[in-house]
Amino acid sequence: MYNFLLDADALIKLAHSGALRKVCETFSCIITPEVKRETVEEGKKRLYPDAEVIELLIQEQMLQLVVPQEHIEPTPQLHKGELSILSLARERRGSFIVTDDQKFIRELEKENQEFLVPVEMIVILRKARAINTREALEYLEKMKTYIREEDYLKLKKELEGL
Amino acid sequence: MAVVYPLKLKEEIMPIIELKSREEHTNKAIVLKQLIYHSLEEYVVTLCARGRLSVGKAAEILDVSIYDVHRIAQEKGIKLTAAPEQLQKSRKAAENVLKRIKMAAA
Repeated sequence: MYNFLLDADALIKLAHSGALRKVCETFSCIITPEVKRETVEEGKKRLYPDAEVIELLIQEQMLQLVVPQEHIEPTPQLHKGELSILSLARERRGSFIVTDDQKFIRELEKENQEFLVPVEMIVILRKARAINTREALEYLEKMKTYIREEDYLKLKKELEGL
Repeated sequence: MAVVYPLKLKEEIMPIIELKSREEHTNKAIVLKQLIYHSLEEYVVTLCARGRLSVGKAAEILDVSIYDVHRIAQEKGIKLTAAPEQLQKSRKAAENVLKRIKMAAA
């Protein structure tokens, strides 16, 4: 159905929340070699445990690695990883980019590229009945550190009502 | 690539820099660089939070990983997340995804 292209920011947040495996089991999730380098190689160098979670999903082919055909030159505001995902999205029309990066999202909006923030993936999983409320709240709790308090409370209330 | 930048400093701060260098068993140039980088981290992460820089770019500028950028943001109580209006757009996109999932299941 849909391809979800995840940037490093989204990958790290979803891995940290514990939801990443479920997201990859439920949907077609794709990253680029540059995103892999930012999350797995750089993460392992600095002993961040989420790096191993991501690496395992790649090894299990639950997280697909795709090389974009076109290379977009980095700008003063955007980095190689984000731009590699954007390049892939241009090739795979109809894909959603999963990111929580304000600057990157502004660029996506200029191209009318659809996007989803990582915490929204938890809501989608719950509403699609791929997870139960308890699991959704657990994932949300672990993602709390990355989101605004008011957004966390709003989402918590929404998930509790499902 | 390193750049040399001449800087005038008030004489009064030098004894403090000297003290810090002795306490940390390092030299004054390193102490000054550390103080600059410490402020730079906060400024760069604030730019991310305002949507002026991407997280990847912040990591590149600070020569750290994206994980480290998140860690720095958390230490400083800064949230690196989409703007409220962007969250609303994400929500609309999510509703479309769910609609299509339900149609496919039907």
